[in-house]
Amino acid sequence: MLQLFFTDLAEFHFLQNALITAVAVGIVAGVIGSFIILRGLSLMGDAISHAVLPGVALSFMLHIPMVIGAAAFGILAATIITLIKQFSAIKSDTAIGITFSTFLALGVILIGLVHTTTNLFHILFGNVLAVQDADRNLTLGIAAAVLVLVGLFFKRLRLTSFDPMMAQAMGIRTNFYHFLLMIMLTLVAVVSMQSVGTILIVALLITPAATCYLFADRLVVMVIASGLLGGLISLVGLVFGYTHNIAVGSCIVILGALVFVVCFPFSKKQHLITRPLGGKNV
Amino acid sequence: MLQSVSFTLPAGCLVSIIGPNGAGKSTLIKAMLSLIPHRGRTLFDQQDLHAVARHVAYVQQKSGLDLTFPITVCECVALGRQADANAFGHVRGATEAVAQALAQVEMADFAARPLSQLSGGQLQRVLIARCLVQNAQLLVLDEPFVGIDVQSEAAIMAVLRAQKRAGKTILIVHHDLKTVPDYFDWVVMLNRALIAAGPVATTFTPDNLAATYGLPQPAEKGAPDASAIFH
Repeated sequence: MLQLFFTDLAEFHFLQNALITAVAVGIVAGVIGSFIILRGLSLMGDAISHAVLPGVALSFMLHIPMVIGAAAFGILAATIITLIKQFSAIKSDTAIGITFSTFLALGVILIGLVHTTTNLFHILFGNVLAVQDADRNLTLGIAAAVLVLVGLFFKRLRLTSFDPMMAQAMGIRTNFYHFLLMIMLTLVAVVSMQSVGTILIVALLITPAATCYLFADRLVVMVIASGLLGGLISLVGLVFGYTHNIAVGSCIVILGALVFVVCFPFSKKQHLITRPLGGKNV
Repeated sequence: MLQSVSFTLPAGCLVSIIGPNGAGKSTLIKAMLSLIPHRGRTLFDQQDLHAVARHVAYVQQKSGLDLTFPITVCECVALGRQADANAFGHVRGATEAVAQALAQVEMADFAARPLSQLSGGQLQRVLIARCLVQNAQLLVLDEPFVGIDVQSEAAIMAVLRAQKRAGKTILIVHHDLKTVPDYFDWVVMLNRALIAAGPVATTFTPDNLAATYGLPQPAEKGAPDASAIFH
């Protein structure tokens, strides 16, 4: 299996692009995912990844780079959800449900109107084997930019994730860091579309991060480990999907879930192995 | 809804905010710190409190924190230095300040421990150390003594008294009425509105307690003594 993959890797340019893109997306999704799950924004990740769809369609219509349209709609969705949450009695999950389903429906209609070589099925479920050089370069550029931003703002992101009330009380603009994270999340959602597709992005965002959360005592360790795990499962998922001729995106997602399930009983935070039968965590 | 609250506090004193459950104690401090929408102003040294937020250290109730968050004691205390950091969160001299603050609350040996492994009392000491590192002029603590051991309470009070002697003003939402005269200089009594505010000696009276906690006035014949709520 591995021999076939590496022989083809040396021979086919499309496979090289797929490998680079999948691993880059896995790493950056793992890193951003850490902040998403710690802030309780897993559903927001799902919402934004769906909300970028009309932006993608409009970008094709207007002949502008896909990332611009997608980012605009991602930020728009994040803003609408945040405003509904802050200024109404509607709960966060309800606001997310209304917004993302509306954006997704709009996206499906618009994609149907656009005459493009990009298949709706590929947007929804990803097709990493069809990644072009320009897409690969965009992914690498965005991944690098997001990693640099996380490195630069790491301390503030940690503070506003752990104790936003304290941060706000000492005069720090927590909304700035919230929207910075939403922008990064949108950018990651845009590049992840090629790897796992719009529907499954949330898995790539939260599964590696949730796995590392089970063991990490420090945020920096969790973020790095989650990035590495995201990269690794993307790599293995690509190899497995390619050699068995099954959907790579779904392989990556299922592999991530399997790693989580295997790790879960050994988590220090769960004490499933060490606590007495029938006992509860204290 | 909390309304009709207006009082003035002297600088450099320990102040308790007391009242029954649902009286608006936490709401009051959140409004003062502009953490929730509100009408009205809070002035600190004749300046709007929000404008001098750097000088405000706030510790919310322990139940509001995610105690499974991957962070060590040392990292948690260092968050207090973020008040002086640039937009990227970088600041100098954090390491020394953190070590000093942890020593003050007798938690130096726990620096590398994850926050999730601390007891309630240890956690509260760490949160107080975070305030010390911030070197704020106003400390606002929401029920810091709930669910902690006697030893930790004594250690925290010793640190807070030292802070008071250094000229800091400390505002504490408090439940244990028995300790009010011993711990605090001033008291703010609330029940959906301000009942009374002033020095403990003249304000913490059975009449005001009865009004705050909705008990009959002590003078009424056959009524239970308001001081019963001490026990």
